[in-house]
Amino acid sequence: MTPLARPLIERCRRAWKNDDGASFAIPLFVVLLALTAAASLSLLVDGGRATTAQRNANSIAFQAARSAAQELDTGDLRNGVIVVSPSADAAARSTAATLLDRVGLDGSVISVDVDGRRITVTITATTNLTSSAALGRSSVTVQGVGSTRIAAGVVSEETPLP
Amino acid sequence: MTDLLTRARQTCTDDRGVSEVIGLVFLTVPIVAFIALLAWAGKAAETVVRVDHAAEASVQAAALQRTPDNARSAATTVANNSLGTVCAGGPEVTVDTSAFAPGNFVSVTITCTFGTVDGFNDTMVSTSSAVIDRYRQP
Repeated sequence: MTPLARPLIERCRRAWKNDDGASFAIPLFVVLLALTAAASLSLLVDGGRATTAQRNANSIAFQAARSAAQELDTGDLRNGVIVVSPSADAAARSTAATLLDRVGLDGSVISVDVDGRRITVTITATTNLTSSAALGRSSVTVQGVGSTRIAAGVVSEETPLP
Repeated sequence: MTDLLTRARQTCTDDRGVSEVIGLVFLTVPIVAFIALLAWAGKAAETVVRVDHAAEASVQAAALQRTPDNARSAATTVANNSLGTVCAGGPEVTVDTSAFAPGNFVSVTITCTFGTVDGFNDTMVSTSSAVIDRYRQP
């Protein structure tokens, strides 16, 4: 310890031992600050995980809708009529399962809605949380929605639209 | 007035003033660190969103192409247009066309190194997959 530091440390020791309440107030404030910072960081991390899961869910639902849009009735298609095949539901579910597996999420397809040429897929996806588990919430489930419309044409979409 | 001056003198010469200054010094460091962390998190979150969005746009562009070469080119162009000024040295784009056929998947992975507000670099990676249209000329 340098001669210059010794008096300073001695003064600090006296100051912190001073029985006027300040000796408790500052450490208490530091502890509260640390707890607040830790809580904020955990919210940041888990919030990020939930946001990523939401983005993935929307993206996967959109790709599942695109898959379903590829399932057309070939008989009608040869006559120039575009009708979504009943296999669209299975195609959407298969695509969703594959992509959910790729991004490491648990989830499933809630619905595949076909409205003319518009197909909308809704899925759920569950992701595990880290720090929120201590507060009794170990996972979060989000809902993703994706919609697509079948566009027919050779070099550009047919007009007028049906 | 005299009483006030006396109290002020006592306050300024009291040891308690020293402890408060030391406490303030000890508090300033974690507070500044926490603010820097929040600033980094904000910058990182913004970059994550942009890289994720670029990956989705790139893979969509790739899925609309007719050949693997065109798919790689389209994905790279979209990624560079989206992230050219965000990523240091431009984004690194990897296009997985190993199963490039109608009805299969094509994937794009973008790696982006960006400068954070605290002067350090960080790297974000985002992967996105898309279905290749079935009814198209192979």
